[in-house]
Amino acid sequence: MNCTDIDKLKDDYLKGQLPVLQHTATEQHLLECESCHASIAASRKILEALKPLSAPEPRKGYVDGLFKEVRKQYPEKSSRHFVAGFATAMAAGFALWFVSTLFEVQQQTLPALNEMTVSLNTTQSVRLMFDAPDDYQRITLSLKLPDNIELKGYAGQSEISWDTSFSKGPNILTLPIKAITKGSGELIARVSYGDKLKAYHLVIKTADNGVVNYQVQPYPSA
Amino acid sequence: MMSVFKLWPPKRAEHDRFEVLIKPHISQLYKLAYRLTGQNSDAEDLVQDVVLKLYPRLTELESVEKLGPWLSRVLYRQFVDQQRALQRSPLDYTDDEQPLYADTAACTPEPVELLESELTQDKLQEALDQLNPQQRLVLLLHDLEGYTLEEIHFMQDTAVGTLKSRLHRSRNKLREILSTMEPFTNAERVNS
Repeated sequence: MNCTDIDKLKDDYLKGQLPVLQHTATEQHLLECESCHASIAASRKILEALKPLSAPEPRKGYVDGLFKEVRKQYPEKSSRHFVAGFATAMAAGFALWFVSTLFEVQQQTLPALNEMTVSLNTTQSVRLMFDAPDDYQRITLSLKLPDNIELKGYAGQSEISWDTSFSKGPNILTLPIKAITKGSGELIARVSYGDKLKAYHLVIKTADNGVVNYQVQPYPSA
Repeated sequence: MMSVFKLWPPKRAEHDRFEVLIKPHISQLYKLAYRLTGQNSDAEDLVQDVVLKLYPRLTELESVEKLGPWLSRVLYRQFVDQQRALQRSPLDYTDDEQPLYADTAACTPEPVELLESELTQDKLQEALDQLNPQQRLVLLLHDLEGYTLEEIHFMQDTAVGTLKSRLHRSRNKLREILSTMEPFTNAERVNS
């Protein structure tokens, strides 16, 4: 190993990133070469001296102010965007649309007029559209899945519920579902607000032969 | 039967989710912004610009595996875009075209005086200011802020080999600058 080699390797040497053999050879050269020894020592000294020049931390209050600005510029949005969580998981395929106006009656269960057939192990979308006559806070949405179906990203969860809010007008929930076994079952979606409840039923069948047949019967607005 | 699972928290929590996700990285982003802009106020503005732009991408952020490097890359690109918009490009220097080790002949006499003198922060800062922005940035990010070359590569889309060359050259140039600065020249005069 000569001085040129040392020059090429010195950064890795200083960082302790040389393989053992090269490290040993470097150290051997440094014992014999005053010039390289001085070069390495000077580099080490600079590295040490640089440490106090690290960039400063943000000033006190900056971080809080930053997120305050975020809240100011992006006030609470309407819940029609709550589908975003599923958007990336959506697969191409048909979509079944349920359309309904919310809560015009105290309690309503829509008949299971709708039926769809899905291919085994293929993700497809079901979209529920809720036409809200007003803004609603603290809406609870619940899903009960049949045994042959799972919701993508929530394997093993047969009942799922979450709190959200609706804004006046159409609010769309997209459900990426996947048939995991053969069979047939009923997906039930419930929307509740205070003492009001609305339920939606959808029969989902897994295609035996992999051919997808489906019938879309959007439920008309109440 | 599985227990009921809360899929989404109340809508109000979107801000909280964003904050929980981003807040741990603000210090790192601020330091990077400071390294890029060189000014506290500009660093604050740059970080704020980035954070405000990211909020609508919350879902995407939640799916990013290594958020720290990803955020650094976004901030770096925002900075470059801003510089281009201002029609000044301080990162566009061409001295990296020089052969890597051309400036370091074998057994080039190193400034022994450097070992014996005090490296004050002012002196170092003055020397750093004489590096070109690309050289200074890679040296500061790697040697001070602890970024690996792979992380800088991810941030800047610059080949690791190029970064390694640049870093090596930056260190050599810094040593060279320091060796010619006072009081080294005085020391040389005294010794000669």
